[in-house]
Amino acid sequence: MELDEAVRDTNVQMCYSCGKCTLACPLTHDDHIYSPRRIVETILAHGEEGISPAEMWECLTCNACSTYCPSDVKFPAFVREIRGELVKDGSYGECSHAGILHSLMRLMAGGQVKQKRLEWLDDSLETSPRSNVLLFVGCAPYYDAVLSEHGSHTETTKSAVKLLNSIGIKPRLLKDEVCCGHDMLWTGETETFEDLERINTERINKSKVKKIIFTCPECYDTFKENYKDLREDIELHHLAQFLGDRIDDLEFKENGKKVTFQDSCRLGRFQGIYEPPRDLLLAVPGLELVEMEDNRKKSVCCGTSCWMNCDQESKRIQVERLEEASTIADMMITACPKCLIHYRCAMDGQSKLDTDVKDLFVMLAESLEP
Amino acid sequence: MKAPFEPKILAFCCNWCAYSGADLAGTSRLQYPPNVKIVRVMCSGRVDPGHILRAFETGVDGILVAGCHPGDCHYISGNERAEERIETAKAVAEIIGIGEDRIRLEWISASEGLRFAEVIEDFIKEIRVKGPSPAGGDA
Repeated sequence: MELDEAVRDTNVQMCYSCGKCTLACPLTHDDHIYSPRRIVETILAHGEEGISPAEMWECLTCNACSTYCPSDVKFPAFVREIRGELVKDGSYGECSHAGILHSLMRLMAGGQVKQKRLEWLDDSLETSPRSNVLLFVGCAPYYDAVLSEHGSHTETTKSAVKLLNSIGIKPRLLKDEVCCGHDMLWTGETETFEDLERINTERINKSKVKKIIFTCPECYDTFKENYKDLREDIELHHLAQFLGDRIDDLEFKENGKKVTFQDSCRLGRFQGIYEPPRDLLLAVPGLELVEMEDNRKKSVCCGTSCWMNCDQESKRIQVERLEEASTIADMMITACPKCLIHYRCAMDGQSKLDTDVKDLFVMLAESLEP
Repeated sequence: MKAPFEPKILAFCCNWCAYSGADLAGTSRLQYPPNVKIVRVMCSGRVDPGHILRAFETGVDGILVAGCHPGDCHYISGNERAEERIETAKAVAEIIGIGEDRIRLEWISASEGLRFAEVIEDFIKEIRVKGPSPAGGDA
């Protein structure tokens, strides 16, 4: 195992045991301690012997630890590297939904299946096969089928098209797009990730696309940080940032809701996009934006990642966050499909939580002047 | 010379009805093609869409889920759950391009050995016409 390399590449050897990471970790609370500090120390002291697979799968890779680390230890990246080795040895996290989403990713990576992923398109949405602006759809069509009880996820994609149409852009959609590979990368299935990366890169590179717009922070982060061979002249934008730069072109009608914004880890702590979604919300007349105590870089993870290791800790994190949101606002807005799904799932059966969770782009599209 | 295509079928049979039906087919010496592997589950409602996709991933060409007739479920409403889950699995199979008709849900009681053999035969015939699963794999 290339442990030394992982330690070097992710700055792990720079740890001086201050413990800020453990304090920042959302998995650490009264009676449960998840300590990146202890994990790092143990591995530095005992090498491979010191690796606890269970602890490696438990990490949410939310980057709260690294955000506070004075030595720039990239703990989530370190976990990712170790997971890559664990997968080779047959260890794997506990998959949610019987691993269906992981199976779908592997099937896409095989490159043989012909998907029907644009069935959600309707006549009211204007797209153009010749446009040089690509809207990367991501896995929303699958979420609609697998997680239908948590509302529609292509609603987000439709809203994205509507918003782009309203500023005069007819985006292009790829009918043979595959998953960006984020979850495969972060579960350590590196080869599957590389297959997905290759397929997307080939298909996009040979098109005339100049800009790619993402509604999903995970797709955006993965393309930006982990796609090595994408044509260099292609600009990558998360839709929140893209629209944030064009706020003057958007016309919204009155909306008297009181909302709070949940920063997702990939959009926030990974990519540092904190203000554009807020600017967009504030551009809606009458909309009141209130902040939860932990916001922006202090935002709390939605409790589970990569469709695995969803457990009572996840539920606790979600319910605590929702309780906070419901005491200050009518609605929690998020710009990440996973946050949306996880919070909506946590709301099931929690009648005392008087709040709603909504996607940022759905909210904005509903507020557009007709 | 490429060998002719032989479908690979995976059948999830519930312990109380379909699996006993398969047993009866065997003890009655009924003939049906050998292309099927049977997985016994306690209830057809136990079969998650994830299991079905995982099976396609490993290279099977068709999946049969067989449970008790409506109203006869040993667990009262497990087979109703199975119906919902198969609905989801079919929707997903359709989007990924495997096609919903590679998944079949059948009600087979413990006394229907003959019906079990007929269902298997018919399904294999259908998959033979459809050809190998687009997902590939080598189960």
